[in-house]
Amino acid sequence: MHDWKELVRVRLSPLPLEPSRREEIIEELAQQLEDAYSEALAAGASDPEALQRSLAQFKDWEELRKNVFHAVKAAELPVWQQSGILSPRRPWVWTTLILSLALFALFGFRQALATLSISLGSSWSDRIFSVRTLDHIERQAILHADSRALAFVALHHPDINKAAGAAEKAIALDPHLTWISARFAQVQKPALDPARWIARLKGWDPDNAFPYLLEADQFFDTRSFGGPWERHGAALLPPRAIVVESHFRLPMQKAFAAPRYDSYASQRFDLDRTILQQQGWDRPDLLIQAVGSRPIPNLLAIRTYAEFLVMDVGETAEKAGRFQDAAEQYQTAAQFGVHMQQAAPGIERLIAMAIRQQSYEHIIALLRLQGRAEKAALLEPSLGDLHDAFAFRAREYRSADVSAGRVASLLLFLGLLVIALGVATLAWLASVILLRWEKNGSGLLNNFASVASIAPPSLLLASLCLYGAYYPYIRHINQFESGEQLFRELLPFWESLAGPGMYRGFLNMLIWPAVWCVIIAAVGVVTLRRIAVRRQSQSLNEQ
Amino acid sequence: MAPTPDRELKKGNAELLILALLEHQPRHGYEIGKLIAERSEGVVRFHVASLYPLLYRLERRGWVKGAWEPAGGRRRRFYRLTASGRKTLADQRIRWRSFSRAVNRIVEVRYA
Repeated sequence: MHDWKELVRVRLSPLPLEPSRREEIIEELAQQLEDAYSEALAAGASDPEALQRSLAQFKDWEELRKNVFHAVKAAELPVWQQSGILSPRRPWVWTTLILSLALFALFGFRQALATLSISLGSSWSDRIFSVRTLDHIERQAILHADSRALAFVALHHPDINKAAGAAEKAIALDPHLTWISARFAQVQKPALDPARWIARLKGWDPDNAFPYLLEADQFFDTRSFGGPWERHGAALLPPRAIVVESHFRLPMQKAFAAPRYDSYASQRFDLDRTILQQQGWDRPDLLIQAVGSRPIPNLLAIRTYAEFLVMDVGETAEKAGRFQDAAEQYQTAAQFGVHMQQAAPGIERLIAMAIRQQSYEHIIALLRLQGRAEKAALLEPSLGDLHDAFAFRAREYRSADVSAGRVASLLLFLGLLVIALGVATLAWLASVILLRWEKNGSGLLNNFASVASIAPPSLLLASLCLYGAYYPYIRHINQFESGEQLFRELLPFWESLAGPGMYRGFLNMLIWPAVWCVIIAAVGVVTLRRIAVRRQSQSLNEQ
Repeated sequence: MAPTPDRELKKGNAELLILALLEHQPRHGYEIGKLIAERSEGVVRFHVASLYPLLYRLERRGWVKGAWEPAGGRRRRFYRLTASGRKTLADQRIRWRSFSRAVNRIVEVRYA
């Protein structure tokens, strides 16, 4: 004889109802089993077969337990009484939570999460390091007479006067750091005189074209893009008209005649990387932003002057039959292009290549005009190489952009998912802790904890996906030997992640409306729930 | 997997079926399950795991009332309709008839 009540009681426990009601339900379900069993026996089934048929009526006892409780109490089964796979009583739920936390121990995972700060941050490059952080670094640097840390502050402090003060101290400690003066060459603030810093740079590094280019920019920028000249009613000039002005032409002549070009990219990369490492910021995104904020000369000004030399001065001389003068102009431009291409990374190098290309085309044409075809033929391979290099760079940028864009979109989605699930998991954790101590906690809290129990395992899955998607981009900053390598390998990816303006702006615009929508939805759900409960109780009272 | 039409139909009318079976006499859970299968000639079958929670829900709403009564040498829990349950049954029946007539007008139409 089977003890049907005991059989049901064991499978339905715990059922947190009033004891008498619970016993009634157990007895009623036991009778259902017993009736089905008797019917099967009467139909000729053996005892085990009859028992099996009877028990087959209730395939999922956990589901039945939840449904019975919900039917009786009009509420979810208390989350700590649930035995489903997502119940907090299951050790594996806590294991997923611990594993999710353990992922933070992985350098790559932390770095992947940090990437989100770029995409969801207010803006890229506006302010890489906080004033507070930089002030702290400066205090420590003064304390330890650390010239490089002071130079770092000078390069990145948003308060230009504070930055200038740090630069003075850094250069006083180590004159080799005078190159940091370049930071102040493009500042247009009345409080600071850029000319003083440019003069200092020229005095320290007189053979370098860079300070002269910065000096020429002072004039070019104000006359072509506005500034003090515009405020004083001076008419803005087209770039080619500025070339004849001595304030621009004289420093440009010196720049193009200088024996070398150095925009201090390698020094800047080395300094930024060292200080980031010292501060424990092993993040390529910060390094890209730090290095990317270095001053570069106005490339339009350089291109304009090079075109002036080649197409105005050179071609005019050529047409007048002054071949030697023309050749000198072409050579000057070409030589400057060579210097710039050798030392400058990124877009500066592309401009240098363009200048060389234009100069070589004119030199080759002039040589042929002079009947020196053999010498022209010697130069033609160099011109061909430049064409090929240009095409290669363009292809490289395009393909990198497409694939980086796809990964960035995926990462962005996964990152947002991890954040959402992380918040849900925290809320779930808080609710189950509350319900652990407050066993009579509100039904709403219990309902939430039941629904949100999917969050911890989902968080682990999403986190693993995020880590997997980011894995190919995990780098320590000491793995990069140059800024160029850093930019070549990671810039398209970081740019895609930070977004072309519209993409990032769209996300930024969505954040607060999304927060408001969630708050309004939550208030709406709570209100509707209260109305429903009130109507139900009114209806019962009326009956 | 999308629910089958049968399942959807049953889900929407489960309350009506049970209330209708209790209209003229009180019945216990096992009997209700058997009657639904018999009277529908096996077309409608209630999973027992759904039947009892549904009965408890109807009881909570005050549409049926359960009471233990002796039957066949043991006590059984019989469910009977309350006044509120009768009113609900009448309302649901009207709705069902109206709905089934509307559906019939569509699916039974013949064009000459």
